[in-house]
Amino acid sequence: MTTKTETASDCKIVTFTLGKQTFGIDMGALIEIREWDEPTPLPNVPTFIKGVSNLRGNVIPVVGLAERLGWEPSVLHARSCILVVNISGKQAGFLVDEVNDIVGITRSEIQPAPEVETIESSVISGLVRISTRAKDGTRDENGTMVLLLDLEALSLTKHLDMAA
Amino acid sequence: MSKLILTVDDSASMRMLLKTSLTAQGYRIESANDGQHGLERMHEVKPDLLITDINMPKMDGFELIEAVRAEGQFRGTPILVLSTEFSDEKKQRARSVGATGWITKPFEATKLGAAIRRVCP
Amino acid sequence: MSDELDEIQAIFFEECTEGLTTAEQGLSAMQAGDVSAETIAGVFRAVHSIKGGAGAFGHADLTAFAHKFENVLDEVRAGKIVPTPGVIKVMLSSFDVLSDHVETAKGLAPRPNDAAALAALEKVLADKGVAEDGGAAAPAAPAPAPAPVVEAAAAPAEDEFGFTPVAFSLDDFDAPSEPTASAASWTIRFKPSRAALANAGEPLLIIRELETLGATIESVDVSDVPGLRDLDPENAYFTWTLSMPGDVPENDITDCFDFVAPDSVIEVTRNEVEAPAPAPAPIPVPVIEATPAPEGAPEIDLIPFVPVTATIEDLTAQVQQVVADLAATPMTPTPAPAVPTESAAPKPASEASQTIRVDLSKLDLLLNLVGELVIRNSILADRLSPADRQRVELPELARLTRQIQDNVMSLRAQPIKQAFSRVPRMLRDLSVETGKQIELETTGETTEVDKGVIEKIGDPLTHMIRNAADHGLESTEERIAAGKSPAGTIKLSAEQKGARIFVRVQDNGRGINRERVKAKAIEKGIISADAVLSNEEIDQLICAPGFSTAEKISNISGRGVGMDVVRSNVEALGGRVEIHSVPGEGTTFTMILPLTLAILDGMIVRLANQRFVLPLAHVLETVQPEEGQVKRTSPDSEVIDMRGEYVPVKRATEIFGLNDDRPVEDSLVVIVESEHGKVGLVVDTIDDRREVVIKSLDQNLHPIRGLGGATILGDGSIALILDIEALVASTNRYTPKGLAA
Repeated sequence: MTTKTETASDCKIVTFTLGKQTFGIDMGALIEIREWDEPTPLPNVPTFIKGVSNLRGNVIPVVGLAERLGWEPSVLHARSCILVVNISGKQAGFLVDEVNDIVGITRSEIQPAPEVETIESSVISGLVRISTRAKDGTRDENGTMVLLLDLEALSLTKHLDMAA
Repeated sequence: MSKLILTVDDSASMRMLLKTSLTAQGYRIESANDGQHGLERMHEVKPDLLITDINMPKMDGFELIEAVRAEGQFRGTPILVLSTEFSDEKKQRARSVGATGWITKPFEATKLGAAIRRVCP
Repeated sequence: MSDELDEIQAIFFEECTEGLTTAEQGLSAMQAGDVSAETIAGVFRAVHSIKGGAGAFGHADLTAFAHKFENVLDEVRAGKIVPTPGVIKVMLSSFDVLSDHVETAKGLAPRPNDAAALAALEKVLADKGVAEDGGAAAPAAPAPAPAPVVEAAAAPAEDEFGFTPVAFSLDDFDAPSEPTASAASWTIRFKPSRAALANAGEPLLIIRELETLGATIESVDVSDVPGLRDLDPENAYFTWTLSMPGDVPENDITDCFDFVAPDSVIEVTRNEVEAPAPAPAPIPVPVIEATPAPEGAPEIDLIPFVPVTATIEDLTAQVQQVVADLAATPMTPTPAPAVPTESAAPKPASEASQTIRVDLSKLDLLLNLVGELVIRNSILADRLSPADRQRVELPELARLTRQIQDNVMSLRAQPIKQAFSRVPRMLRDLSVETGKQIELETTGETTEVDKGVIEKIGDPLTHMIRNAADHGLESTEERIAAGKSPAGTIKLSAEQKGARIFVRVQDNGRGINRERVKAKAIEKGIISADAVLSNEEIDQLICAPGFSTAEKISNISGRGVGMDVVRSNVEALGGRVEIHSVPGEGTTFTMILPLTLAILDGMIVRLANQRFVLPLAHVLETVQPEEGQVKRTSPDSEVIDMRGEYVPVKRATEIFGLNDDRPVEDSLVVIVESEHGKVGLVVDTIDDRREVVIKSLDQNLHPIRGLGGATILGDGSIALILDIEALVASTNRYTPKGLAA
């Protein structure tokens, strides 16, 4: 695997940690990163929708991403935050453990989505390896595998099954 | 100074077409969207030529021409009717209330220009 | 077509839409018996305008059809054709064809077959003995040829007061050529009458134009000029004789005299090639020059009464100037600097006012800002001490804000009539397709609704109307057999109640066949075989995804799958669909929609430590229950005794699954009311009463049953707005999944 320099990229992604996995989303969809703030709970919604929060005058839903993927709920800590994203004009916030970095990649580097047992395959759009910076400033040449999330698949406005 | 033409028609698209066509021929254009409005604009801008449609709400073209001709200051102002109608009766009526000429829609830019030059020195 | 012309044409298409609406309304009125001059004139004007613009933009078929339609309308307007029901029917179908032609012109549909309609219009004209307009090439056969439309429409060719489009060549503007002895030529004699000077006519302009074509003034006969005393400044006394090169088309010459009064003398004679003849010997007297009087001509005084003085040299110079001007000016409209963009949302023109077109996005921005203003007002009120809150400035501010908000909201509000406008045509088509007689009654079209709502209910409305016509109404035979009137009626209505709009489609048909619906639902696995459902619940099954009762797929409503799409569309708007049906009598579908960006008068309450908003309009009263006032009637339900009336009670746990273990005696019970009944809601405390801005939940999420949106309180926190209707409707029908439909 070759390391990448930012100048050659044609696409920027935001990487974050959830559980033991590193994920990435298209930077263009990101509206804001907010500190965790308890949302107002909603009745009659699936458990992964934690509630709604006030984002500068807009009422946006907050999703526990871990639960949405079928995992145990995230444990909240100091670096927990909410990624507020735009999915086809609709806004939503996703609770993640930690936001890592903004990385430039080229589309040609993106490999097809692998089958990951614990994750619903439709939400992963691809896989890319990026080099990471360790805290001491050195580069880890092996890099990290980042699972790219398909935000459309995570959209909350699809007609929810009555059986949910 | 180029000549000023007042166009009166209740169709916005027609007014815009006229404006485009006539501005390209070097005229300045003012417009109004019905007879009543047209009469007001006549007083406000005192154009060198009035071009008006016939079928308009509130005050139609005939009434407008009549009202304009009733005023001394406009007796020498040429007035052209621009309408899709073409019956003899309508034309005679237009002449009798004081129109100088009649052009039938749809018009070609060149014909319109020639007609204008024929009435407006 | 250039961009600019595209823009202008776009505006023309909008005008067509408005014109078609006006025409249809007028025709409906006529059908209902109103054949007043005003109504007819309105229809005529609308079709006339469409025709005019269509010609200008080159839509030949549309122009031709509109022209024929206009002829009939003109005759009706003039009283020459009586608008009998038969005639009106022809006009209605012609209207439909005209609409189709407009769609074709927009590029949205293939060309309609207008042969039948044209024939019908012809017949109406013929029956009244009205001759066809001269030269119009509109036979009973379809497709009048494109090009002749222009000339045919301007049928009378060269009358003196007309204007015939004729080819015109710039090459004609060379300097006037010398009449050569060997070439043919024209001799033109022109004596304008007194009338020619009337109406601001100016014969000299005509002379100038002839000269630009190549004429030369040979002579001017001033023999008719009277003495000064008898000189009438408004009369004309000169006779001009000009010669024109023979290669100039006669039409060009006669064109110049288009606007000249009929009693003037205009002679145009062609002189064929003669033996070498000198130029006609004129009496070379220019118009105003104090030269010796020509032979036989009387003395004239030198007082120039002709408005434009000219010597031959002057005239030539002027002609050269005109030629230069013309050469420099492009003859076709060139794209002028950008016409200011005018986009969507024409405000409906009211009788006495002017209108402007406004960008919808600007209105939205304004609305958002107003919403923010209201919130800021609330926050401000929060931060002030109670004493300060009473100061006059704050209520003033609130009042002004409220006024702005009302006005801005009304900008986006439009009569729902727009959404209903397609229905009459739709029903005419459906009537033909199904072979059923269908009548339409419409009420409440002036109800004002946000423009966004109008746009989005179009499709659901279409589905519901189609369903009513296709499934709801019985065939004529069935109706007669059942003792009903042969024609079925569909009632379309709109009504505003509080912060909601009720749009109803009601038919007097056969009603919902519940047995069959239930059977189908079981078959499709939507419900289990032993499910026990109320009538309303069975009716709602129609809206379940995957449901269909159509025995065959009909062209009109497909599989009848429209209803689940209707429901989800309506829910996406924050509303819901109610169904009410009586077997044998008919069915009513009601779309209940919120007025968008409503500002709600709300009561802020606390339920299980969370704040909620109750719409004050629905709140009847609040009580602190006394011991024993709340009684349990079954494991699942409680009631409260309100002066002898037993009102069902609901707690937070039941509604939202929240933790609520507070004894009822420590709580308050708020009695709320909806159309369908009352409920006593148990709350912890009542915080406040204030105006809140409704933030729609389905902007970013999906509609949640039981909630009518959310609001942001003064401290930035979110309070959910309770949907009282749903709350009441859920009484005794609570299911673990939440509130029933």
